[in-house]
Amino acid sequence: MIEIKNLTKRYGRGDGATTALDNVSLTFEDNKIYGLLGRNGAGKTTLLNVITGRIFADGGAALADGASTRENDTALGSIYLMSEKSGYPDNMRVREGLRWTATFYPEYDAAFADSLCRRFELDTKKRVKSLSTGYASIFKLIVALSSGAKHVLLDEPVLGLDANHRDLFYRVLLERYAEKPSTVVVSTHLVEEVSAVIEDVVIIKRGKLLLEQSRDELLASGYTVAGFADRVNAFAQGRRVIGEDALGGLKTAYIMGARPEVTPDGLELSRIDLQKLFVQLTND
Amino acid sequence: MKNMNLKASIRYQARYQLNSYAVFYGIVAVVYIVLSILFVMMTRRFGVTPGTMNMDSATVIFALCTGLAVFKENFTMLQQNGVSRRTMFWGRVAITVVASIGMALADALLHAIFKLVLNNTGLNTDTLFDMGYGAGLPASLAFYAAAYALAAGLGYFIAIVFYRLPKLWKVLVGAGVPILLFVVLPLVDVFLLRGKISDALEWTLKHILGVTGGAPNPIAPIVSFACLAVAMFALAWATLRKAAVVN
Repeated sequence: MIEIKNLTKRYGRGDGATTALDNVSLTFEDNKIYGLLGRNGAGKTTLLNVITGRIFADGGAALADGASTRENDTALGSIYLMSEKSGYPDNMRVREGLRWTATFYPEYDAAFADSLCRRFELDTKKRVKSLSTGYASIFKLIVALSSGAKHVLLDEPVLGLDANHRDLFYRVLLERYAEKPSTVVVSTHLVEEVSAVIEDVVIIKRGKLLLEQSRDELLASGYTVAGFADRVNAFAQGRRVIGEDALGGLKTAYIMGARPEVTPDGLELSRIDLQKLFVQLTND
Repeated sequence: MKNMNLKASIRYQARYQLNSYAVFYGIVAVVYIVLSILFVMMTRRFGVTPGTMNMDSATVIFALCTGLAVFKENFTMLQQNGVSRRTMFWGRVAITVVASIGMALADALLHAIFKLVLNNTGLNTDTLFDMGYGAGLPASLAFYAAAYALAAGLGYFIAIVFYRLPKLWKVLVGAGVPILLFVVLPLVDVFLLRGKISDALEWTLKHILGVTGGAPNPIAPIVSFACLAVAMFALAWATLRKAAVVN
């Protein structure tokens, strides 16, 4: 379990300082897949970097199984962070990178890594620097998923991957999770894609925790109503509307609360999707 | 600190170092051979009296370079793989101690071989330590091991400082420190302080090297270099412990 307690991180000093994380507290429980969502600059990457001790918080703490991750090899060794920039030397060959990961992570699954290399058609003789953006992501994904770490954090895991590889990644993630459950945190912009694989949703907005909830609860907590604008407006009266889309005389409203059992005449009620909810919740 | 992580950290940080030592000593051996042949030819053909030949300073520069070159790549890789800064640091200290002793032994071995080969040529192959102190092999090994550890520590410290500095500061420090040390200070020393800085430097160096008068004291440089090496690594740790991974 990863606990984040009152984490605060600022960049810069004085008037120009930016607060990337503002007193964030949350928990990533064992054996769950989380979606860490937020707009650009929301603080997702900063949060993951602070958890793994790559950067230092100005306040608060990150704990892995109750132990601070700050300069703690045991706690850090229980986490693998796949980040946008790989820490592997550019001139290192892929197979060397895989071998070295096994040195640091005793639970590293070499057979699984080999099978993933074959499934993703990753050439292990290539040097890290010669991999395309997509294959660099695949290399990092294979290392992360094979590391055997108890907590796997994936920051923009499908960056540069084509649709086929993205699909394969989500399947592999679920297969691995079913076979060997672990805590997986997927930080991404591709909300709709990740929606099918995550169990819980964490949304960060401007460095603050906006929401921490199970995906199913979240999706059940709202609905969309669509129809002619005047009817939608009338229906929305007195309800908590988190956003609206209008096109000509038609309108769609995103409403939080229990969905009515009976659909009003001339309106269409439907389940809210995670991406729409995310957009409405994180819009300014 | 997990022992496994320390071992892995040492293994990783040492991975290319053995190769670089092999290359370096290969080059040193070639240089020794070429220079020896040249010296012997000059002596026989032109009757020129050969001078002194040793490669002590090359090893010091090499040790400095190993310290300078290894930081960034190791830091990002070890951070990527869940190794703390502390474990990485102690791994580097362990490698430096072993490598410094190893280089001192390798130097001594090479030196002994060439001394034997060039025995009758009149060429002076004594090391700087032999010439300055003449205190025997154990003291010579300790002297060079301490000197190499100091050079490696200095290189490591500089590498971490440069890693942490913003781009503009890298340029300012990279250009400013040499200008300050080799241009401004000598000018200030000569024109404003009437040699007080050079006097102080000379006094310090003499005490470090144990040549304050009478017979040179070989223990002084060994202890001084070892203490300075510890100080360099202490400074390196103070700089490293707050270093963030720069993406």
